[in-house]
Amino acid sequence: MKKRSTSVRVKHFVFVVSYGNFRRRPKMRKNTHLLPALILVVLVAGCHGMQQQETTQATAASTVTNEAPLFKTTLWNGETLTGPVEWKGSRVEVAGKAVGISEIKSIEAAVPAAGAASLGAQSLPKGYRPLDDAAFRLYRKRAETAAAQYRGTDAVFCLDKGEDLLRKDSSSVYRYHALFYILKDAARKHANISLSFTEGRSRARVLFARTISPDGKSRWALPGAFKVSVPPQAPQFFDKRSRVLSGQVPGADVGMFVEYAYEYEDYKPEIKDFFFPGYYFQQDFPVLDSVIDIYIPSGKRLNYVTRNMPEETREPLRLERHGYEGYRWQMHNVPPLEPEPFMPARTDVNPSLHTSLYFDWAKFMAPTGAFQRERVKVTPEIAKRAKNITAGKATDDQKVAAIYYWIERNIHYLSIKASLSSGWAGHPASETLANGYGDCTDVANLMSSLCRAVGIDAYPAIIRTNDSGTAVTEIPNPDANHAIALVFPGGKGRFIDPTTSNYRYPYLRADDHGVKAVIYMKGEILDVPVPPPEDNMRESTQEMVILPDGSADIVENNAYNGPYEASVRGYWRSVPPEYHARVMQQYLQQRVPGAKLTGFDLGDIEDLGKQLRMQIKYRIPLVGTRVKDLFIFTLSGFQRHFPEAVLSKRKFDIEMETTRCYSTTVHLTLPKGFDLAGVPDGLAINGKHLFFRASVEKSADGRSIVIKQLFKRLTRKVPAADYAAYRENAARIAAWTDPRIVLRESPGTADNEEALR
Amino acid sequence: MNNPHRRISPALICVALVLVLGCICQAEEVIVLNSGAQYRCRVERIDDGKIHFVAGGEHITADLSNVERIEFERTREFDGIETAEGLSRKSTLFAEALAVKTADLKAEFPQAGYVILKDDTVIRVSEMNASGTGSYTVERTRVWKILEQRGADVAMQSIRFFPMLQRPEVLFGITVGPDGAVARISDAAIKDEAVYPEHPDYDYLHRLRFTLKNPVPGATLFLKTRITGKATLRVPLVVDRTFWHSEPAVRQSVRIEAAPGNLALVDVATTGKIDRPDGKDFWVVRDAPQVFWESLMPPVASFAPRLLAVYPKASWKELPAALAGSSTSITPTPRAAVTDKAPEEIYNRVRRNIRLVNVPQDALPLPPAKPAKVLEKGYGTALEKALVLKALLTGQGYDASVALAASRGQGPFIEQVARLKGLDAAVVILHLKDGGVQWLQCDQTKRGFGELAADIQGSKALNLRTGQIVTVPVRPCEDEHIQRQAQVAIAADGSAVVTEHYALTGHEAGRFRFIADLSDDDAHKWAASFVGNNLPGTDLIKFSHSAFEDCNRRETLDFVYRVPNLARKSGKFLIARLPNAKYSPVEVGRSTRQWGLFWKGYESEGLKMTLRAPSGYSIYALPEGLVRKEAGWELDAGFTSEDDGAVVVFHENWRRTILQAARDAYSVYREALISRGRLRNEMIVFERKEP
Repeated sequence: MKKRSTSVRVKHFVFVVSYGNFRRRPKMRKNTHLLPALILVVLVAGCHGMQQQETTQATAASTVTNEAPLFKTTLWNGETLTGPVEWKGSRVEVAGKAVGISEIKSIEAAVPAAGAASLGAQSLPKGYRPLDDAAFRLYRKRAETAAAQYRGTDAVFCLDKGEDLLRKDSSSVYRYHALFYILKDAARKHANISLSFTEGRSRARVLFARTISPDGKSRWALPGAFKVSVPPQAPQFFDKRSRVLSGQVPGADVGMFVEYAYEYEDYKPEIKDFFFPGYYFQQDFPVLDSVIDIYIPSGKRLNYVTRNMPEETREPLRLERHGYEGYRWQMHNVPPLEPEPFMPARTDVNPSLHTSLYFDWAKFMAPTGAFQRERVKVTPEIAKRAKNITAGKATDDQKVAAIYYWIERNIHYLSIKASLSSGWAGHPASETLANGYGDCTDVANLMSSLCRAVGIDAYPAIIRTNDSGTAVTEIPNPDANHAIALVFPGGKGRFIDPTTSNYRYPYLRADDHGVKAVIYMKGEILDVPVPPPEDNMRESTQEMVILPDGSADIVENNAYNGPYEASVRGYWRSVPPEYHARVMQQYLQQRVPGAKLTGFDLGDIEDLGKQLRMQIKYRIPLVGTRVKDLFIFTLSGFQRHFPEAVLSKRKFDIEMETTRCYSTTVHLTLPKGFDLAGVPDGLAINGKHLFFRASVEKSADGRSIVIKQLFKRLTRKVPAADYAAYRENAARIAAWTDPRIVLRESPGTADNEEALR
Repeated sequence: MNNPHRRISPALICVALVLVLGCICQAEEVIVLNSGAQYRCRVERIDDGKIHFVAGGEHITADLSNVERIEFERTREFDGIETAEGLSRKSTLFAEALAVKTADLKAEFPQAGYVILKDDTVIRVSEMNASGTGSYTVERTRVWKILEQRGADVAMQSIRFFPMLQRPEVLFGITVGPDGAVARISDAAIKDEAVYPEHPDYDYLHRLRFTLKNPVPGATLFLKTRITGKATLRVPLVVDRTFWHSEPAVRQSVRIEAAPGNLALVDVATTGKIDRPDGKDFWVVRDAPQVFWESLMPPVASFAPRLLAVYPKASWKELPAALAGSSTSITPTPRAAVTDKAPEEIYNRVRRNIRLVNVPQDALPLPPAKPAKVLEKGYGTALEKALVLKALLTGQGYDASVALAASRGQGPFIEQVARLKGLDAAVVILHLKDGGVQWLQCDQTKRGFGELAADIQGSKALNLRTGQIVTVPVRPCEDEHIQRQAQVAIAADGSAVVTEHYALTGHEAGRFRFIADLSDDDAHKWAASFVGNNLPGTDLIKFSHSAFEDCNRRETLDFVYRVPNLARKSGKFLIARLPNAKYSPVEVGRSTRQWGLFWKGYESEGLKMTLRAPSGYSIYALPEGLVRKEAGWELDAGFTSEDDGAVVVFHENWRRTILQAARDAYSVYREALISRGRLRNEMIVFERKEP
């Protein structure tokens, strides 16, 4: 597993969409640098004392004033005008200048820019100023001890300190202070600072940043070292409001320390009390001091839950400051997280804190539920389309399936996020219908709306996919990265995921299995079940005829269902038919060098409602090893692999997306002139997590055998405590499924021997 | 307490939310309120601190102070035409494309996800001014018909540009659905973003991304874009068009328009067959076939028609000065930085101490930073690192120069047209005091002295000192070699202890240097996966390796591991296979191929495995070996027995010493690789001796 850096904090969610998911990405609270005490005149902003900030923000966030609000008007030619706006007819008057509507690109409430302000280091908030020499020396000593203790670590994270403050006007600020000790080249990346924020809602500022060389000299980042840009996204994503403040601390090298602090401010929150600070206390390298302080106005209560934290660190220290109540959680000398293959998401094993101002899920769900309710309403366009799609379908299940396939085929994945409501609840179903594109929230709305149009109850459901950690549902918290739908064909609830292109109804995407689903419109939290292995299956029968010259003709028939079917179908649909045989030929070459495809039938892969079946015919010129009178071979494509079981011991559980089943039957016809001299005995394993049945049956005349295996991975999680037994079973299954089948030449068959040479 | 719409009256919100669904694509504006609510609607007026808008036919009024922003749709050509018929009446562009039936195209192009019906580019160039700057516009009109769902991604397009020099625009983006419905591109799906925002010093290149609506099979997509820009020798307009694609194209054209005198400022070269129907400045390619990818395939540009046009015209000798810019010398010598060091020591200093900013040179409209500045910053691009290395070497009295290389993967180097674009790798040519020449590529932290990326070996490069085109050497096999040796001790129960040693050079060594970044614990886990992935149940006993951070000329890996079931008993026989030796010749899966063979760098591998049977067993019989020797490759592999049959030794030596070969060489090459794979998979049979 790749290493990655530093502290992941959860706070304001942003919606980063990637391949079918909208992702609430925890903002990275990380490196930033230094403002040297003396040079630091200009770099950052509003680090006035708290009182002063409150005043400033109260003004910025005030909702009604007697003065006309100021707007920044941007024209298509790039010109910007700031001032009050009057708009009559086809003309708009901005700051006293009249412009045509067609010339205007946007009109935005005027807001403070990111990174503006000028304060000296002494004005920085306490705890977010450069460390003094004595404190630094102390850290240096501790860091050197940790480096010796954790051999090969690329860095020691000396200080990892954050502070979240909710102001009385419901704006909030987060400050962060870090000190790293760089031990390897790879850790120089910690000198890169990158802070995401949302234009018009939030801003980020570097307070100071510096490198400290072994001789104790500091090199400070200059104000121009950091710049705000519009960050790039993958082609499917359009979050035009996202911004990034980024830059590098100069001079970072092995043996040096990097220290920085920054500030992130939500100056214009959409919803009061939407304040969900969180913290992760462990990294890939040792952390000496990891601390988070959270301040909320006196009189408010903080709801919180911790995960994986030692018992003595779960309850906060209570703090108090200027009419605010504070909570502090801290961990010290945290060892590095040592990743293992197929481990749970890091967020599930990392000591972490999650908080909320909500104690009542119903209150928390209300805003999003309201947005969703409006977005799934049935408009005339929706009703017309639903009627058209479901024409001739008699049952609810048939109707839901028809709608599901229509969305799979006609809605291109594209995520456009422009506001809290579009981020969290998507766009209206009718808008997605008209555009022909949308992301998971959009298609969940569209699915729900189209179902409702034909009288089937349906709701968007918000989840965190099982490859990205377990959603926080212990307290009211917007922890999610994907949207699916809960539909009720025939009155019976069923989850379906319309953010797919290749699934057969009613199978559910594998990364949705076993998660919590929040149904905001219903005010419910439900469990999405993990289907049985038989719902994610490949069933294969192979006819293998070995000829006297040592070659073999094989006819393989495979049938698929569930996520397995979708992945196979998706691959073949993604390439032109011309490639199909080529790809299969290459695949066979991987199985057995020299194998030659003689026939390949995929059926109608474009018919999403039809089970995917595949027939492969191929010839292997020499199926095994011929030595003296022996002919020894194995079975291609028969072996089970267990990459999750490569380690002798594990600390973490194994976690997979879902269960799986393989059923394989090989009918083997032996060549004339050879007798069966050795085949494995049957094997039966009935483990807690693995089920296996294998058998070899000989025909009465000894000329053919039937080899069967039925493999099931019964669970998607294997606790570390069960690993030894799991690994032993896996090794036995792997060995059995790579059998040595030994044939021996019958006496007096020189012809055959000749043929084999 | 928790009212999300607290800044707008509840009644108003109720009305507005009810209406939001009604105001869909016909509406022109998007309003976002401070509460995060978002509406598509039409604004009527703003006055007296109120905003009045229409959503779904209903009139709504809100306090202006509750508005976060209003976003407008840009007016574009053909706005207001709501039917396919209307568009066809307006322009032949639509009429011709919409007359083509999807079914006919599917019959003609059964392999296509989409078809490029038209791709016309018109370039207009101006006179150069006295300061050597000219201006241009590039208008491109494209029409696609989507035939299959897999072709829908063609709706997503982008244009890269330098904001300081260029302005891209989407003039129109229209989708005509299979049912004739017309949909226009939305400004919500057009985004101008930085490509390299993480490096403020290098954040110049932008990308305008956009997506057309309703990209479903049967839809016809029309897109017209324009780029207006300024051109200089340093940042010229370069149009490098290869006319064959992964999907078929019915018609493509490029026209260059300029006053005759100005045309002389454009340098043009073509390869392959391109029609020039009405004069020398108009190129047309019709019915370009669909190119199917195959393994070991040469770049498409090596066999497809290609047009390369550069404005303003330059000579190779002019480019180094243009690259350096007027204010930056590329040869300052911070002599004090290093004293009396050997070239390798200097190289390692630059490799290690200057972080690579992975921004290609042609993403920068400015000259490279001075070496002294790069040394001070501690980071730089590949070219800037090379310039530092060259300066330090020169400071030590060595003769060194910098060259920019064009990787071979881009296709044949067209020497007739001088341009910096595509010269994406920087190397230093060091003339040693013994008369030898050493090529150095110091971009990556983990590239050792003298190692060169495989894709620039054998490529063409521009020497920035001489302005001449030179050829980057191909490193010999021994410098790009992997040697494996294993001792396998098989126990009577079929388990085995394997002691394995790897010796690696060149990019084979580079593949493993990431281990330097791992902690000891992570490295051990990686090693366990490396040896155990294909041998379930394997326990790694010991793992060690050379100091990869030093980028040694020869790196080593050593493993000791125990495999539980390497050999299986069958009666009196014990049947084993070589551990972790499976070789799958997937690159030669097909029995025939369409194109010639193309490789990056040479290849060389040696393998020797010694299997010792348990006491009481000896080899029953050995499979036959093989020897293949051709002009560009050779293979020698086989089994021998020692120690009265108690020991079996497998050896294999493989070398490839060519970079490309004709298609007819494929069958022999394929047979060699299949034989190699087959031999490595052979069963080794030991027989229990009778007491």
